[in-house]
Amino acid sequence: MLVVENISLSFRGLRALDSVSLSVGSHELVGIIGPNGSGKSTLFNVISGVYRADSGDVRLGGKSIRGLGPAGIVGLGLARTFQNKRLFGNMTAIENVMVAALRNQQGSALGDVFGLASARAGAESCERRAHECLDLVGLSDAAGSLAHDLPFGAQNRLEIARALAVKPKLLLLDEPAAGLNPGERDDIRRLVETVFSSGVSIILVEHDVRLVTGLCTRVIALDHGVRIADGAPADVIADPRVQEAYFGPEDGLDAETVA
Amino acid sequence: MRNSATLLAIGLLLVVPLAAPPYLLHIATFIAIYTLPVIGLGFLTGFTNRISLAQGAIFGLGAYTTALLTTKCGWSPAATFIPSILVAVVVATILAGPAMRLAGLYFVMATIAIHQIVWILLMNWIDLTNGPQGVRSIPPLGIGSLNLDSPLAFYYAAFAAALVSFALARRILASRLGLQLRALSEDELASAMSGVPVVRAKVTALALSAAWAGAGGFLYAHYIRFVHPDMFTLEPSILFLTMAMFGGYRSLIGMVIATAVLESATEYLRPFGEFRMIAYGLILMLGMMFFPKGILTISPAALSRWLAGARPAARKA
Amino acid sequence: MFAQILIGGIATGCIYAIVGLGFTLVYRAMRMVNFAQGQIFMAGTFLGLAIANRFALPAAPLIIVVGALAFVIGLIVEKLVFRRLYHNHEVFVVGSIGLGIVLTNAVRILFPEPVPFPKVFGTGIFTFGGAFVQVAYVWVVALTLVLVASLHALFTYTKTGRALRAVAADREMASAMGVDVRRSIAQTFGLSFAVAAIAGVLIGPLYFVSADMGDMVGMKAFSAAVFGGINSIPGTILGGVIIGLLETLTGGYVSSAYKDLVPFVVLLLMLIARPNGLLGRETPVKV
Repeated sequence: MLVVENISLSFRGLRALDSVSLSVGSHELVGIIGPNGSGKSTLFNVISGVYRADSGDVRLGGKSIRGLGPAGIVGLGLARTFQNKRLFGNMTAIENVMVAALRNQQGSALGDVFGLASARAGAESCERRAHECLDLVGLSDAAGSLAHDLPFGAQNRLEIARALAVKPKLLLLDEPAAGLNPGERDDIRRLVETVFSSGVSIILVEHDVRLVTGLCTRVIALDHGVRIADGAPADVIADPRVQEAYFGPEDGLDAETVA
Repeated sequence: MRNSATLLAIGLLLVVPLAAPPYLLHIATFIAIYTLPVIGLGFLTGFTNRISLAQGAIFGLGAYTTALLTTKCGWSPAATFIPSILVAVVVATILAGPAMRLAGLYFVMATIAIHQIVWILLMNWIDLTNGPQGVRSIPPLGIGSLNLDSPLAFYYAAFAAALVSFALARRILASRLGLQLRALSEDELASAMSGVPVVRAKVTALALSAAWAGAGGFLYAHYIRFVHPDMFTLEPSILFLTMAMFGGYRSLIGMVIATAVLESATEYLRPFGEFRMIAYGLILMLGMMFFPKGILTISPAALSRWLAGARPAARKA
Repeated sequence: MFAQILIGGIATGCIYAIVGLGFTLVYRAMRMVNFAQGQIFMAGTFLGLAIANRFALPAAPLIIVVGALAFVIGLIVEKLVFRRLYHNHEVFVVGSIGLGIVLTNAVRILFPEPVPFPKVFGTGIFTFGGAFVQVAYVWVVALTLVLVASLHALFTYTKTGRALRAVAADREMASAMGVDVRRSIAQTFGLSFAVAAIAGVLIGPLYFVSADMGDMVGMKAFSAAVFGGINSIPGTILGGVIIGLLETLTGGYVSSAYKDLVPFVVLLLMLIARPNGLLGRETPVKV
């Protein structure tokens, strides 16, 4: 599904990603963990075409994303959410999702303007699809509310609904539970499980390690832009390098791992 | 309530001109004509956050297309309507399309270059445009055997055109294209990640703005019945931009009101010669200094506060 | 013929360069474009005219007096007008265009017809490499060099100049380091007025002067500044000279009707290909 090969990226001489490689199979739920500034969001931005890597390659479904902008990458079956919410604030919840649902629609915009039947059918199916996505994240009741009026937790779910509306094969979730209370976290966890069981591959970046280990079948750990561990959640958590990345070097560690 | 207010306004605009003095009718006709390029700017600026100082030149392209086709090629005026729009759209897309990737001031700079290029060509490509002679004796607009050469008849035509263009703009905003454009104006990156074809949407907004300007230029040429390059200097571009700004690009009705207010103001100042231009410059300068967010965009809340404050005071007095 | 065109082109280019500097100084400090710059240049010419007619000063003192007066006027106009336009670039664009319209028409009321400017550089002509060269052209080129050198010295060796540069580079950082940002911005406007007025005195004796003389020169100088890099002083000078040369060469060898087209076509192509200009750095285009 996704293959990342030797991606490196520097900002003003600072290495944000250092030769990172990873792959995600079809229908896999992979978590990415790492302390602040370890390169998690940067990696997402490279995969989704927001940043261009200095070197290395990203392939989605066998096709390189090189030369494609974000919109082209969406065309390869990728969707994402943003860590700092980027909803269309002055549009309603349903409109937010409809924008994304338009992608797979028939009928031209001019048809809409002149009220052609084919266009109306397209617009209706798009709205239906948008309502399905809102239903899935439990926001049907808020369909008519402006996005920036929604409570914080609902905004996170609306971002997920919008991402799902493009019918992705791979979904990148960037800290969907950040700033949420335990009850809302549970909602997000259930939502991620539902989405995953509908056949979408997911990469989840999350600060809350417990949420990640509870959900994911595989976890990748980053530190200072380097992939330091990749495997079953329990193994990764127990990995001394991961421990060190989070808690600093401990007595009795091998010199090798410190380096 | 709202519908009846709209109907009342339309009714008034249809009936009052029957009894209005010629000068008022003249201004009303200009307002109707200018509504088109200003709404056009709304598409461009309101949805792509790019401000253009070339709208006056694109407006001029529409005017020159019909002027030349009717006088040099003998086309009937009505037949040149679509070509006027097409020329405006094609030239704007070719010249400004590649510049749509520029943001902020850099786009403004590009539109200034485009404006100058169009103006210099109108002035110097004498074989095609007559250059500084201008194009005279443009025939009046006619539909079948009906000639719109009386000011009142032309007013109704221009008013109808403004109304149709307004309704059409509203339908476009309500369409799926409108949905994409609105998303684009909110957040370009999130739009791209939601599958909005960003480049195509931006160029579409540009093409729409040019189409509206071209249609406005078409009307202008048949109203004045004479075109000259100096009618399409930077001045109308600035006027259209200011009208759209004062109206708040995304409010169609706001832009129409701002067009009416500014056009009336500048027309009534006309007898004052150079002082008129000074006053006009001062309106732009002071308007920006003291109402940077547009006079009409800040109004609803401020106006209601002002009304709430003003009423008791009036009662006391 | 070629030498003649070359010399004319360089002199024209120097004028674009100096007027362009006004755009560049303000852009570096504010990230905004002052579209009244061409009209300020025009008003500066008339200021020079008024002083030259009254006091019959020789060229060098005239330039110093006009520059100093324009600097002070710049400080005042910044305080009265520009300071209220800093909200965003649209407001600044329209507001400064308004100021330009006011200036043009105020001068037009006083001088409805083009008027001659005193020949403060004399009327001498000498031959150089087979070309006839007006002494005034030499003044234009020499003074451009002097002006660039003085600006360079100001920005490099004086405390005020270093403060101006700090504000242009990073306003918040400059403020944190104790630079009086407001004052620096006012001084920047003062400088931009001064260079515009000096350009006015340089060009005045070459032609008749009129209220609309700033419109085209301003636009072309702006093109030159963007072409060379609107945030770079050397870039603006280079851009001015190149555009002046290209324009004059086009006028001489291709078509005098279309020579005015050159700066704007070059500007549009440059913006699309490389918005930072020849020597500019900063990336203005966001993803």
